[in-house]
Amino acid sequence: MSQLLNGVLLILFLAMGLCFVRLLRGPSLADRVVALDQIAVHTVALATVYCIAVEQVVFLDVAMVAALLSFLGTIAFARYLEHGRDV
Amino acid sequence: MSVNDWVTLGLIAFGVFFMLVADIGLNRMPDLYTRMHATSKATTLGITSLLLAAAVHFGTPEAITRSLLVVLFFFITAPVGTHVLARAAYFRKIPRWRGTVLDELAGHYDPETHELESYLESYEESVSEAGLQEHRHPAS
Repeated sequence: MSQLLNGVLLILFLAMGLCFVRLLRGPSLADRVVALDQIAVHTVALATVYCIAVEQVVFLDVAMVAALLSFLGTIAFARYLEHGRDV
Repeated sequence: MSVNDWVTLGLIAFGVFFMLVADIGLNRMPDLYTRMHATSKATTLGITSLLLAAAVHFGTPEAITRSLLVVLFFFITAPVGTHVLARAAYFRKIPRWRGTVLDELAGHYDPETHELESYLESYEESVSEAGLQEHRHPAS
């Protein structure tokens, strides 16, 4: 069980790497914001799988806080995109 | 391994698969709007599955409550965040894929106030115009 979960964590980290590729390549700022949002969701996923791997319910709180902060970040970036000056 | 472990592993595999699909879509799709379409839906399904795996694995009330809270939170915020970002990108005229065939919003947004003209408004206008013409027709 523990070995399998380590493999799952590795896959999730590699998937996060794919998001970083888009973060670097993204032609517009909005693409980068989408990639950042996706990275935050991966943080939530990693915290969830990690809490199963180490048998600690406490890490679900980390997932909750990460989800809250990522939503606020996305909204702030979108407001900036819509009303801010040229980027 | 007990039944509980098998269910947990199945849910985790399902969730991780959809997270991977979302990332592949994020890299392979041709423009911003299709990329957002790929990430928002597949990611919501994937993260829901992972959190349900945590709820099944622990089975305690505190774990189930927290997992379901985060799932509910994602169900509310993922569509809202995507919508707000896509709206902002639409106003910034982020280029669409050249294969795009339909833009139903074209001409319905006020470029100054960023307000969307309602469907009812344009519908009433067209009805009143039609009624006016009908009324005017016999007189003229």
